[in-house]
Amino acid sequence: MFPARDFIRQNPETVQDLLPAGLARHAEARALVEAHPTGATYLAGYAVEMVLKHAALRTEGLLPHVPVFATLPAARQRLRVWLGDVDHDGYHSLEFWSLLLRETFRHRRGEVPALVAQASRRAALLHHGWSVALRYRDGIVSGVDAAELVSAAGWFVAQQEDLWS
Amino acid sequence: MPVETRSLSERRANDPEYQDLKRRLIAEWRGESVEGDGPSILEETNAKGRVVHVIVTWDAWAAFDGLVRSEMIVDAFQAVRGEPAVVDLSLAMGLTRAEAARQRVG
Repeated sequence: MFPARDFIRQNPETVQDLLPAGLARHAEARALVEAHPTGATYLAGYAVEMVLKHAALRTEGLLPHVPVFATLPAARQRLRVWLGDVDHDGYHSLEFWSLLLRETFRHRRGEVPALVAQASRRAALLHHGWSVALRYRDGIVSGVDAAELVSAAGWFVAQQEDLWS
Repeated sequence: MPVETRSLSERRANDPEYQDLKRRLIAEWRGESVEGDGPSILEETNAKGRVVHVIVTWDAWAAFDGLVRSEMIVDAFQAVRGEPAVVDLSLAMGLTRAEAARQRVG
């Protein structure tokens, strides 16, 4: 058996791991969407989370090799100062990451690019259709709804390199 | 039974071990500590001289995972430097000496 727990403890995920992981989760979501719509929805939302998380952290200036866990509490605190308390749902909330991305551009670059504003609006919609807690559920998302979310997640995956600077 | 709701920060506020370590970290940061084996704090600044990265090496928090250590650093940093400074902070990493040596940090 692959010793995943030890491997991950000794090699914590870094900012540069987020995009390939998001791409992989989205590919898995597409492969599963017809047979397992709830699981596909969970994976697709995760892909969006990783794209937004990567974009927000890179726009803040964090380098690719930085461990993600060491960036999360500071990110929460920045957004709290900028916008007030936003529920981060264990740092999985799509709303949290999209707002952090938008506010990072606003405060660090002086303006929010149109694409980022669009991503923020799209993420606000996805926020209502996705929760990380879907991993504990089965059979609650229809095939039609899953296909819609997987398709919407595909937009984020396609824009992943253009959402940060 | 009545429903009791409390936030994670409230739970941490009631965790005596977390609070004791945070108090000692703040004391070290303020130069008030008399501990011989207190935390080692490394601050990295940006071109404007603002602290953007903090790396703390300390064996006392070995039982806490990396995310909790990061939370503690951010809480302590804010207590010492104030809210305006925390906006510039992007990295708060807590390591033990062995972890720091393995990662060649510090």
